[in-house]
Amino acid sequence: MELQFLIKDMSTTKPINIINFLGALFMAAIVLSCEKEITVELPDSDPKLVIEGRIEADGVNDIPPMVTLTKTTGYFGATSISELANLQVHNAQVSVAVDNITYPLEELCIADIDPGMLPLVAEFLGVPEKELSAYNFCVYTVPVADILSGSYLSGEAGKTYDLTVVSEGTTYTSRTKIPPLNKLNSVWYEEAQADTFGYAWANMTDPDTVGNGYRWFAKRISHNAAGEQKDATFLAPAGSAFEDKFINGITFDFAYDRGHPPGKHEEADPLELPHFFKKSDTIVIKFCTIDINVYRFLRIYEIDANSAGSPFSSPTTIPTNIEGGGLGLWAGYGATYDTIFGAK
Amino acid sequence: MNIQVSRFATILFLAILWSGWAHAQDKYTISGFIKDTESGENLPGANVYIEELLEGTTTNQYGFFSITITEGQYHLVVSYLGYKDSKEEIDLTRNIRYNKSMSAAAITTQEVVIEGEKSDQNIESTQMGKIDLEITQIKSLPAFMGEVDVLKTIQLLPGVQSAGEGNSGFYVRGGGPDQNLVLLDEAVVYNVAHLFGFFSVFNADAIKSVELTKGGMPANYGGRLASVLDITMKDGNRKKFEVDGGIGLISSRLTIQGPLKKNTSSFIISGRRTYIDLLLNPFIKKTAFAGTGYFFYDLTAKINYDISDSDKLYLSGYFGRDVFSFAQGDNGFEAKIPWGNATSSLRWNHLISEKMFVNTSLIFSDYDFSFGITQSEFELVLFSGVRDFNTKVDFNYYPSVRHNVKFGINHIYHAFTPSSSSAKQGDIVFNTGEIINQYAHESAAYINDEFSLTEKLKVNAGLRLSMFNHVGPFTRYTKDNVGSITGEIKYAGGELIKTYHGLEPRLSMRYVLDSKSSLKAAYTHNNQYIHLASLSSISLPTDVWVGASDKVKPLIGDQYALGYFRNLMDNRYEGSVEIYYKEMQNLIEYEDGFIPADNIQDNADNHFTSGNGNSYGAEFFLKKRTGSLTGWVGYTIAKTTRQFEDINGGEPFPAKYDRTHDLSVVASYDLQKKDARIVSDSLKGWNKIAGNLGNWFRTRHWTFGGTFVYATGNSLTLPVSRYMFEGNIMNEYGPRNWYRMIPYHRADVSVTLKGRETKRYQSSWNFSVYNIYSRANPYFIYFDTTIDEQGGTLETKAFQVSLFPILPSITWNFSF
Repeated sequence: MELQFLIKDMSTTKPINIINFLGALFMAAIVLSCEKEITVELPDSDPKLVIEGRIEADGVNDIPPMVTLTKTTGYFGATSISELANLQVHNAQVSVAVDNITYPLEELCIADIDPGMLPLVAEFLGVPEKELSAYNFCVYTVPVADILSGSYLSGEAGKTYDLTVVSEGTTYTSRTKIPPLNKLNSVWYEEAQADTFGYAWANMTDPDTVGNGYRWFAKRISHNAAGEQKDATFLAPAGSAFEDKFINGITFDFAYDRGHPPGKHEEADPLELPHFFKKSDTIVIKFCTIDINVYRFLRIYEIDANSAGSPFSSPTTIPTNIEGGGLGLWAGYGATYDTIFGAK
Repeated sequence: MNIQVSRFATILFLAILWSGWAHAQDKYTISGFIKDTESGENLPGANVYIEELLEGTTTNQYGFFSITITEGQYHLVVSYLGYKDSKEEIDLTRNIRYNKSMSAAAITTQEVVIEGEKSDQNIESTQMGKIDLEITQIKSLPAFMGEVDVLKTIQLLPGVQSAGEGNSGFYVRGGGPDQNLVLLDEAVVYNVAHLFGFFSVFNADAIKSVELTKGGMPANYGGRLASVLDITMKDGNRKKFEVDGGIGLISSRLTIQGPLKKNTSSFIISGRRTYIDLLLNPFIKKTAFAGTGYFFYDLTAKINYDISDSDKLYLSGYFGRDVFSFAQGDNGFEAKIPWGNATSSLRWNHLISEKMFVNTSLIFSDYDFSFGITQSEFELVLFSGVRDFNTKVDFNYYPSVRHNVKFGINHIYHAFTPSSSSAKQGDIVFNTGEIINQYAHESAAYINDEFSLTEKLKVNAGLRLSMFNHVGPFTRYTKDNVGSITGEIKYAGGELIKTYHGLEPRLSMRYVLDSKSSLKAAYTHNNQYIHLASLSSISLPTDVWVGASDKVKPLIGDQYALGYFRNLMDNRYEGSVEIYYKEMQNLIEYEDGFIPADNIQDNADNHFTSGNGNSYGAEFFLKKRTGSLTGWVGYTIAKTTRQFEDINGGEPFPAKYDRTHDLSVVASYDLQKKDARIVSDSLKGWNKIAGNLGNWFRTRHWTFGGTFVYATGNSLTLPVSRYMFEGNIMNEYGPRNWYRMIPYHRADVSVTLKGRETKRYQSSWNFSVYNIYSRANPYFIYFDTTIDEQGGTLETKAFQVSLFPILPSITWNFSF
């Protein structure tokens, strides 16, 4: 259903669609094509450090920065998911500087984290809270002592944050900014298919300045038949990041379909239709402003994550904003929330 | 027209005239046109020489020749591939106009006959790296899906590589597909492929001759680095009407030609269309995909008229289109993707004197590609194209038999639309920026002389002066170092934005070692002012043509080549070894991280990065020219690398079409009556049915063809490791083009069966099988990761997609 994206967003989804579309059609059209599995000999390469860091502001809560450090790994052969979890890098020195003050971060593993912080960590990692304990995830965040005292580093719209990571003798740095918040004018559900399925719509106004980036997340907080909340965390659909190149200064409507958790290819619930919301769903929209460099990373990352290596795309290195030879992203998000209430 | 260039041209012109005139005493000129006696078609490249002197020339593109020698009695010999030699006594006491009609050497023109060619042509000619392809030979080779293809055939020659499975694009000696100058009756054809490259745009029925120059490019050609593919359309039978056609599995074609005024004027119209869409339509109509289909068609037309003995006019045109449409009714989604070329040329041949021939051409060439999507109320259209208006004047001057001089001027006005888009949803029109076209004047003046320095040493030397002016109207978006647009510079119409010019020396030499062998050497320097920017590893209509500008410099190429040519066994075999080395500067690639949407509200050439490249190799060629079994073996060993500061960390990397080994074996076997009899006699002994089969076999005319190709696999950039980001598995890519796919090899066979011929009507059936041992040649490789939630494992596998397994096809050809 990537076709739906064409309506909403020209800056990122169009190329995703053209590439995917051509790729899919091409493969379908050539009825005579065949494929087979092959083995590829990969060269040995040194593992690289991957930094995934976020600092958020929503104008209401104090949200601390969070950073995870992992490593690249070999490509083939079955790996257990827990093995991937063990790619985490421990004992690095991580700090964030803002307004000329440097705040060191501490490595906290799930076992040690204050239960009050768990929801935030779950959101950041994109892992449902109840699954957190399955893997001993560790995040670098503000020291426990600061959290307990109530005074800790948290994101503020308009500020610039510098990240420094020292691991195994190498120093990595990055800089990001949390742009001013931009709250949506309105949100609503609109039906697309049959009576029960549709998309989440919103109306926004882009300020007249050039170089504004945005990212959309949505979470269904209504419950399924088993009584569980449908989405444990906020999900970003493909094409969730866009810029104001074509919409600069205008007020307009746009829609997004329903994203899926990473790695999940099939819909577990038979009552749901992949990519669609239901009329009865209550959906919380998290609409964030992002820095233009963060946007540039995310758009290539989303294309890469969505294209199965069709011949029409060229393998590109994702433009990381990490200096020093690392991969990944240090991102500032200016988040605002709105809710679409489900109809009976 | 630039003043500098025209001044240069005038000086050259005067110098030549004077030098020619100074030597004119005591000599007379024999000149004229060589034609085909059946159709009246001019024969380009025919050999015309004086037997006693063993000196002569070849007819030019329009069949004209001119020989100036001291008065006397001589025998004039004319010979041409596929025709009976002609030898006539001439008494040269004044200038003679000698027009000769040649008769085909065989009963029909369909058969492959290699007698009649001046048998040591390849030893004699100074031009190395030039190959003339005979259309009848092309038609006897196995065809892809039954379609005879000019471009597929040239890819079977050493030094010329195909871009990949089913792709018509070609690479010559390590140069990209945009480095080949493809001309159809002097008009540039920008996109030579139908169906993403599976078929070329040239309909073999309408073509008279094909000439490929891959080294030693003479000065009359320019604007591209690697090669010239000069295709001449047939003029049209001047004596009688002729209809040729064929019906095949994928497409059908029809050609009609004939005289408008006998021996003075004629026409030819040729058309071709596929019908994959019509065949699939009944099945698709009922599904949700009603309205989906693909078709291509092309149409070539030409009229010629002899105004007088010294003036001829030609008007030719080509129009071809591919249209791909896709519809998904449920979603209200429709896509339409048309692309194609249109060319037309008006040419006037004029004989200024017996020694000077001039051709003036006015040419129009257009290529465009469009991608349109509608979804309910949303509409998006992307468009890119290039349009040329070209004026050329080319002189052939034959001052004496030892000199063959060419000089001329050329001016092209280019209008590029690298990308333009428009989008709207209902009433809201999205701001996609204004359409920024790029306009330029490309001009050149050249002079070239082929002359004998000594009896053994012949030199072809030329100089080309070229110039490129990028002019307004144009808007340049300026950017800061982060890549955000900071402003616009607007140029008015005609305002000069950037100029480039260069002198391009061209030199090639032939030194005759003995009557059977020669040594050749060549050096050329070329400027190329327009580039094709390609995003993917496969050439697509989305590839965009851009001209040099303030941001993009012209491509510069230098090529050195050396060759040894030898004929064996009494000229029955032709062999050669050529080695070359090329350097290319100012190559462009899209910068890392570019996506097509970046072109909107921005200049296309703001996204390029430039670098250099080189290539070198050795080409071996052995051709059997006579007998019932003919064909050739071509083998190239070569390497081509690129180096860009902004790509691959500045380290050199193999070009995407770097191919270490490339082997082609081509064979055509014309079954002789006596051999057919052997087969039928052996079948007689079995039983009655076999006996009848044998008789039927013996009474028909069979031709068998086969090709075998082997090439090192294409290089690709594959990931080398992976990591997690936001819970997704991401790829880390290795150095550019570090991986090699498995080698490509394939064999094709074809059988042509001639039907009973009457005086008016001929037909034949062609059966061909593509990829006879069904090798799964790699088209591309992709990775797929499957996750087992319950087992808690994930696994990544690599898959190779191949396109064509064994593909048989049948075509029925007719002619009357």
